[in-house]
Formats: sequence, structure tokens, C-alpha cells
Amino acid sequence: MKKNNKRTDAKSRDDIARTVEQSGADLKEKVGDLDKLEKDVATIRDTLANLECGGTAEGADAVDQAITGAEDITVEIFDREDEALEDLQSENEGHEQDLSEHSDSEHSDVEKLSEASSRISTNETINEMVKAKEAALQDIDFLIEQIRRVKEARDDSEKSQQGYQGTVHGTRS
Amino acid sequence: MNQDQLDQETNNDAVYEPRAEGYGKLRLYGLVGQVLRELEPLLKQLEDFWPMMPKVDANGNSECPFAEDMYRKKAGLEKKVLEKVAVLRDMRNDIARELERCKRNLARISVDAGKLQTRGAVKQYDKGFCVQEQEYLEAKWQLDEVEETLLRAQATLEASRRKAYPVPLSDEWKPTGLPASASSYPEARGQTKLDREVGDLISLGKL
Repeated sequence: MKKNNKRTDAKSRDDIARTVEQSGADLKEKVGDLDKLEKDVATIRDTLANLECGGTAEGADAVDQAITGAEDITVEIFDREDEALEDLQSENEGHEQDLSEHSDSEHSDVEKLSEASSRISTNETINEMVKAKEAALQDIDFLIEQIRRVKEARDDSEKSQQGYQGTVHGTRS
Repeated sequence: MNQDQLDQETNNDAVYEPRAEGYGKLRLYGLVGQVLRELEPLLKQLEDFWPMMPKVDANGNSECPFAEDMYRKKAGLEKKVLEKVAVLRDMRNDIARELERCKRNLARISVDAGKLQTRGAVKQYDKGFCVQEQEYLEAKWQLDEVEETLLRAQATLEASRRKAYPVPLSDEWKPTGLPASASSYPEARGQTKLDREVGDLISLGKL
């Protein structure tokens, strides 16, 4: 009964590949957004470092305040996008888990098929079981490849994210 | 560590290069306006005064009995104008430096704004640019006003100096020449009204 449900819920390879590809593209896009924001923060800090501003009796210079405001806004957006990236990474991790469970299930099927085939003597049935086993093994290979892709995309995004966080928050004055 | 060293260290820690201190003070206390306001009446007085200088010969003799006094007064005015002009020249240098600072900042803000992709940040840059532009214009107007006044002062001083007293004037103010009327003579005191009127008429010379 359980197995039947699984088969009903099971996604096609195309669906899985599309999901994995979309997840990778989403992560890449978000990392791209963070990259732009990090560059903007760097530009703004460069402006602030090179501006010849000074204090007046009334308080901080208005020009300096405006540019500092630009930094605040950009960092705020960066933080928002950073959170969105983390959501995507969690989603991506969810995909990886689904794929792993799917892969484990396929492994279990293969084991069951191997076990069953040792007890069956009918050639036709054995051939069918071999075909099913081969299909399951192909699925496993496919899933392992998809898991690798999903993980690679997330690792890449996490690596970039750490770098951006370091730049934006590590050196913030 | 004394206060100066402490201040120096604090300034070194600051990310921003401070506004030219001289201009900051000028702006803060409105000193340029004050000097301009002080110079204006002096300049006006000199402009009105130097064309009235009486003719004097090479030895300083003049038909005008107050010639030396008038020249002395003119020299005093010139001195006062010169003092203000010297102060204003220093201020002009500070304002010119401020103007250059504003120009550099405007260029920096403009170039960096072009690199930004965050809309909110660009808006803030626009705001900063406007404020900086206002500071630039303020300094520009002030510099124009100062330069105009300096040119006017220079022209007035040159014209005034062309009518110089031929011999050195003593610093001490001593009334010289004849008084305005014969009735001013000490010996005129005690005379009758008629005597004084006759004396005044005589002092006018031939009609």
C-alpha cells in the first residue's frame, strides 16, 4: 500500500531535473542580487572614504548623512535578500532530502528485488526483475547526480554568501 | 599626551577629511558677511572722499586751508580699507578652497552614483548631490561677492592713491591751515556781531 502511494507521488526524471535546475537558477539569481548589493555597498563606502566632508556646529554634514543613508538602505536590502537566499537554500536542502529519500527507497527496492530474484526460479519473472533492478539502479544514478547538482548549487551559494556577508557586515563602520 | 595630540589622533581615526577649517569658521560665524558689511561704508566713504581732494603743489601747499587734514583723513581711510581688504583676501582663499572641495565631492558623488544599481541608494546620492551643490553655490556666490568687492576696493585704492599728498604726512592729527571763517580766530572773540560779519566778508576775499 505504501509502495503504491509512493509510485503515485513519484516525479518523473524530467520533473526532478527541472526542479533541480530551477532551484540552482534561483540560488544563482539571488547570489547575483547579493553580488550587486555588495558592489553597491563597496562603492558607497568608497564614496564616504573619499568625500571631503566635515562637521559643522549643527552636526554631521548633510552630504555625509545622505551617503550614509544610501549605505543603510543598501545594507538593509542586502540583509533582506540574504534572508531570501537562506530561504532558497533551505528549500534546496529540502529538495536534496526528498531526492535522498527517493534514492534510499530505490536502494531498498533494489535490495528487495535482489532478495526476491534469488528465490524465484521462473526465467521470465527473473528477467522482469532484472529489468526492474536495472531501472532502479539507473534511477539511483540519476538521483545521485541530481543530489550532487543540488548540493553543489547550495554550496556555491553559501560560499558566495559568506564572502558577501563578510564584506558587508565584517567591515561595516 | 596633550589636547592637540589627542585631537590629532581623533582626526586621524576619522574616515572623512574634514571641511577646510578656515571656511568652517567663516561659515559658522558669518565672518565674510561681517567683513563685507564693515568694508562697505569705508569704501563708500573713500569713493566719495578722494575726488574732493584739493590741489597741492610739490611742497604740500594748497589754496585749501584743510588740504593736509583732508589728505590725512583720506590716508586713514585707505589704511582701514587696506586692512579689511587683507582680511578679505585671506577669506577669499578659504572660500576658493571650499569651492574646490565642493567640486571634488560633486564629481565623486556623480561618478559613484553612476555605478550604483540600488534605486534607494541612488536617491540618497541625488539628495547628497543637491546638498553639496547648494554648498557649492553658496560658496560660489560668496566668492563672487568677495571678488567683486576686492576689485572695487582695489580700483578705489588705486584711484585714491593717485591723489597722494606730495610730502609725508605726520601721523599725529594737527589741524592745519586757516579756519573756515575769520570769526573762528580767537581774537574775534569779544567782537560785536557786526565786526564778526565784516570780518567774515573780508575773509572771502575779492568778489
